[in-house]
Amino acid sequence: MPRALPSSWWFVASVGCLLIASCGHDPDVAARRNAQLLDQAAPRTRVFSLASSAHEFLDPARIAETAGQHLMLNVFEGLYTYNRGDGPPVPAMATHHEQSPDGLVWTFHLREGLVWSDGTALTARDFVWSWRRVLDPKTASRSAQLLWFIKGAKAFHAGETTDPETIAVHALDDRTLQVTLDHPTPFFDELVCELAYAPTPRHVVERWGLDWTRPEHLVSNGPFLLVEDQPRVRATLRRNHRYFDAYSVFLDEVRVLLSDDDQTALDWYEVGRTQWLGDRALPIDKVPSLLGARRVDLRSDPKLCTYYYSLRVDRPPLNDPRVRRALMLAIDRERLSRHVLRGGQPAAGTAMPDLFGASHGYHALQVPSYDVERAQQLLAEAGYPKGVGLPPIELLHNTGDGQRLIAEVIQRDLWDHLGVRVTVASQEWGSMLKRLLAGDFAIGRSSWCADYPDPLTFLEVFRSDAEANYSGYRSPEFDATVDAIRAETRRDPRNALIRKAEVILDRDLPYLPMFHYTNTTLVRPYVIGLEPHREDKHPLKYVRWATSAEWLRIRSGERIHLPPFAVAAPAEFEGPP
Amino acid sequence: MTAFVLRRLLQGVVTLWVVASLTFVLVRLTPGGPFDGAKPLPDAVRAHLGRSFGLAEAVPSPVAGTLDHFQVHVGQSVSQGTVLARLRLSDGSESLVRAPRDLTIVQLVGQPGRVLRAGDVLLVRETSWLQQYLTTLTSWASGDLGVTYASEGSRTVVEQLGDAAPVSLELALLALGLALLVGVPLGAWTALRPRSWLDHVTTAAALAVVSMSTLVLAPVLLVVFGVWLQWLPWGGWEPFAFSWEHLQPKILPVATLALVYAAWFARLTRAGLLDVLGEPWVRAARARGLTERQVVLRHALRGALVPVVAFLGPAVAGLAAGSVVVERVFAVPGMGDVFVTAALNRDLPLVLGAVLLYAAGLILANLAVDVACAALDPRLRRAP
Repeated sequence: MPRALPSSWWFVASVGCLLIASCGHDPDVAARRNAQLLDQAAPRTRVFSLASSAHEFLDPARIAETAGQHLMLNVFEGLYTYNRGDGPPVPAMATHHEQSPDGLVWTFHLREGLVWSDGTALTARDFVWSWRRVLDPKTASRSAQLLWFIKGAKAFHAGETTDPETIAVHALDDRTLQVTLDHPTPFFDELVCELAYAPTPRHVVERWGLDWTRPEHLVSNGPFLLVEDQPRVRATLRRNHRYFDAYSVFLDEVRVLLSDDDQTALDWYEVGRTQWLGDRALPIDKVPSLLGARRVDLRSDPKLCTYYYSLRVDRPPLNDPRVRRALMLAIDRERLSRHVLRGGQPAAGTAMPDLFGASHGYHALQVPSYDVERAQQLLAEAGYPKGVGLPPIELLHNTGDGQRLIAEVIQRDLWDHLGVRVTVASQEWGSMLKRLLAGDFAIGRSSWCADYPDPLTFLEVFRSDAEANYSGYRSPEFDATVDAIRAETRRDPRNALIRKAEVILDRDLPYLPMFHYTNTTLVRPYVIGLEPHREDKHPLKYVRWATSAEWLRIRSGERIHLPPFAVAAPAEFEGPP
Repeated sequence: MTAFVLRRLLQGVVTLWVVASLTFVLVRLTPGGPFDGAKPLPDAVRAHLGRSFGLAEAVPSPVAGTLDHFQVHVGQSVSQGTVLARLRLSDGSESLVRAPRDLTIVQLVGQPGRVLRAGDVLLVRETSWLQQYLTTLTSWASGDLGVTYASEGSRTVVEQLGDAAPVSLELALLALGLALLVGVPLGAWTALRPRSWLDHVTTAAALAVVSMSTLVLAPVLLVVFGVWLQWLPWGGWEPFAFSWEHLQPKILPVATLALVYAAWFARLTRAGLLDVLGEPWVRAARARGLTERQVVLRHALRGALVPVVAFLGPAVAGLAAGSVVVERVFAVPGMGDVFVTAALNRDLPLVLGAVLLYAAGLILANLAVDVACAALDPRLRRAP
């Protein structure tokens, strides 16, 4: 239709202009945006807005997704809570605890005068009732396994017994809670920060049943109260005046805009509707341009999370350790990290991120992860010189642009370096999970994020009986080492055992480690208190605006980091009576 | 006319049943279940969830006795008559418990040595597809749409749809209204001035917009008006609230959808009117001395609108489908979002609810369109 040409041409040209303008990295534009960000001082109101993915439940006992957890960690608080940044857990409902010499019996002492947000007294009995509720199969809690460290918890949760008295948690009096553990767990004080360990108000749960988490009924004990919950739209938190430390909470209100789309979250931030991306990630294709622009509000912090592929070790050709090692050595992870991911993710040689140096004095095993010659040699030894005779191997990943890119890098590296043909299959998350759990794959996309901040969490996942051990890896030697770690309480022998387990795992190679995650986010420069945290937990009670002195420093290009609270001095948290 | 409407409504019910059955089968055929996670749940928890949602049911022990051992394992599918467990009776004799029918085991209750009374739960089995299908249909027929799996019972399907449906309905109505308001006059106006430069520009622009579809238009409008110019906010939707604050986030999504349909309506009206204006009865009307205004507005336009009204049926369907894209792009908490998440979560009750709501809406819209067409064109009224 020739008559339509002029205006169609105009249309194509204008869309073209739009695209070119949006793709270009104009240094002036970047500098202007930075200047603009540093011109925006903190608002007068103490209202903090952030984005988050949508949540399904709000019941701390049943929350499975990170979105709900991040939100409700500000509404409910356990015995201890997360520090500001990486540091030991800080006292919350409890002031301190004692451990028996064998590390099995923990006695927590609760604060005096604790109340729920409706004024009802909060006692040690609330904890006993709440923990039993989490473990009750009828609650069907996804996070109940976090409580399996407690003696008797696993049997009760698995339905082997129906007597809640068999769980070793007891209230000695209103303010003393005694817990007996299954095996020494040096990180139990970190575990009780988890939402699953938070108390839930018995009187409210029993009155309202499944509806108890609706804002009109909800009674909580954390620094904030949930005052509005519009599923998939927004949630609003407001300061809890009955919180024991309400005086030191800066924010009056927190507005959480909900979207499952990373791009939407980024747009909200860029137009000023939110001050933080919250738990939404930056879209993978936006990271390079933001890095290139040296954005003053961009942060990238390491995280206790590893991206790897499970290798099905019980079927050919991957049942040959030499083939697995060859695959491992033929992938250039540094290049993947630098040119594809571009978010500063460290390349991974093992499943363990090297983030336990400060807290545990443990440095993760470093192994050579890229050696093409050795890879070719190993493959030839296994009987497949230059990949001849090796059938195509299927790589299974879940749908998503990032996943596909990574899979294609591997596909190309293995073909270029080894002559190994990899077919890439992509399935939606639920369908892929079904195949992983059934063991119906050769190379399957997996990842592991720490359940608790201890190296053990990155080893337990490869035990023979671990649910997320998709690769069918069964090593009695490895299992015995993990059991020995569980039983050991002294730091140095424990670290030696952890190293031993890492070496076994690296020898047997039931996986292809790829990289450790980073948490890349945008936050307004005047927001203080969101310190890097390796478990990505950021209690909003620490958030405040920069003071004028701090603001001057920020504007001169400085980054303000507040140290974690020292736990020896819990008095720092006490407000005036 | 009444008989016609009644017959169509009856056909609609049959269509709904077919749609529901197909959806049920499709969701059940999809791999993965509603309660799957990266870590599998313990059997006891899985069995409890299954039983509360009708996906599993208890198999009672037929006799009293002490459990000696189970002869099956969790996940196993056994046929009728297979030995499930061995019990020791109080008189010292042994009794075998056999599967009363073909079944798949979800949970084995208790350890060997457990003392059972007759009727105590011995194990939990999956319910069959047919059974689930019949239960679903019965509860639907009695008006109970159930609870969503994803919320594990804390939200009902009606509640979730009740939140989302008004949003999508308002989006569709506003977009359709705006599209008609803009598209029809524009089409009529260009038809009266064929081959003028305004006609060329409008026709070309309409063609461009129609070919772009919402898939392209939505992100482009969002980037220009939302992100660069920052004239309009987006995200969120307060159904049927029209204060300026609540209206603002509605403008972009409504405009996107309306623009595409306005272009369609303009093209249809223009073509229809050009056709009609050449008809002998229009010439006759002119010959009787009616003014041009009367000829166009009272006679010609009425005939020209039949294709437009006929297109309303597909337009409503298209709006429903197109709004999934628009809702996703502009973060509108409508049915599109419900649809996608429900399907990904294998949330059968919610998927069924959403599909049936859509289907019912489409059936009613098509019926309304047919009635309207008959009212516009006398010749259609005689059609069977």
